[in-house]
Amino acid sequence: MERGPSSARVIPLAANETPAASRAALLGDLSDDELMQLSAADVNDAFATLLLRHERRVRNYCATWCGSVALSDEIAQEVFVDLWRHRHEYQSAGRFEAYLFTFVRNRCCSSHRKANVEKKLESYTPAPRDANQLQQLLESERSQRVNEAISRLRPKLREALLMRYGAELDYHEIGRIIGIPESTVRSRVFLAICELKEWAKEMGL
Amino acid sequence: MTCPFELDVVRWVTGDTRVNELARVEGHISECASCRAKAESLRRMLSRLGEPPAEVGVKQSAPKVFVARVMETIEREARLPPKARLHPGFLVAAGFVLALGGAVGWTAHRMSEAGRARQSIGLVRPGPERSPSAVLMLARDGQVERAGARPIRASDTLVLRYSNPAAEPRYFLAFVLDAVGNVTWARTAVEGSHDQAVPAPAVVGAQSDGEVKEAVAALGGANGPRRVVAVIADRPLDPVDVRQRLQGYGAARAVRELFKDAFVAEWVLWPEEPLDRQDGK
Repeated sequence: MERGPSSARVIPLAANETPAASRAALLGDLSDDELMQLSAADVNDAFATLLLRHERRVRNYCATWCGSVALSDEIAQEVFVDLWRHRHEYQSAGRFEAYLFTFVRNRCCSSHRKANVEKKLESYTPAPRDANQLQQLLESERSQRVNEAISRLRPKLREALLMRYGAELDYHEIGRIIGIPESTVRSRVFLAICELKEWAKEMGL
Repeated sequence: MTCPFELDVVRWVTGDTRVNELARVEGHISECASCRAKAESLRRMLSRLGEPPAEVGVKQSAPKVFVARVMETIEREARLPPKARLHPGFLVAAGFVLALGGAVGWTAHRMSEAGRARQSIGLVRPGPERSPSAVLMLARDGQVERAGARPIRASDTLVLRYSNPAAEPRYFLAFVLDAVGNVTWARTAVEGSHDQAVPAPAVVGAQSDGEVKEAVAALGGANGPRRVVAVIADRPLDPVDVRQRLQGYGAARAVRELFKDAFVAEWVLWPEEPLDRQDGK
């Protein structure tokens, strides 16, 4: 079997002479497992690629969990720093999402505990000035009501619901993350939706 | 009055309706306007769960800004001396271990292991006096340089150079793990007491002798990074044993477990493009 003239190359781990654009494209083609392997070898831009790939889902999950966009960025940042600290412990098995969301879950749970002892600061809401702002405010209110309904769910139900519909993880993965059988995840999600439905009715959503 | 199909509608929206009930539930939903509206409303609500809550005057930072902030935190933390990065809980645990006595030896052992681990990542730094070392070199156009400084070509040759300044003999083994942790190449060498060059596993060249066949096998695994590992130990190292014990996912991590008493150096190599394309398919 003949091989082409240029079939392999080294991605330098320390010295970086690969052009940034081609390096980014190369890293973008790698799987999560491969990027984690590289991150474990302290290749920081591999970790940045991984981060860029998953930040939206993690931040949105944290935002819905804690009900605050501002706070969610802080939690999500802690999640990714946790991931980086534990990058050597990751075992490549195509289970990256479960690994990542284990950190997400831990951070969200601890922020939940903190919120129970600390008084939540009231957020400042500016008065609307024009139609656009009014529309924004209405949308915000609707969103806040949905969030309020979600926040009224028991944490176990909320967690299962958000992992399923916020993070779009399958039941099996959620079961692995939380450490419960898949059937329990299913019933938690089902109960969460039933409760949410009732509150949505009450709130006129 | 609530519709008797109310819970069935929830199951239908979440995709949990049993196959034998699907026709009955769908039949009802198509006829009942109230249930259809409920299903639609539920769907809308669930689809909102993936979005951040809308807050007036507050927006999520742009992805690149967020990533830059996290990377800055990480890089700042990486610059701290290892001691400053230790978790307080770890310090308590370490104190407890020290109090038990005999921990000085343990700590020294861990420190030397940490030193080895750092050395094994990417570029091999000069080790302490009398400890073995390994360097992956790249030979191109008659010039030899340290691999990792620039992309290699198919015509390049990688040479693994190792040394054992200690008086006692040591054994050498080099192997390659592919992206999914399969050992695609393994080679032992005679024990070395001085610098020795060994043809490295990731050699890709135009030659057609046995060396190249092995090298082709080294690149023939799953696409993605290749990990070249060099082990220098006090005991003979068996490549068959390595192949059997390091197959599959988690092999890269298992390397350190398997050779925890040995000197281990690792390099990560990348194929320029998927291997099937390299084969001209």
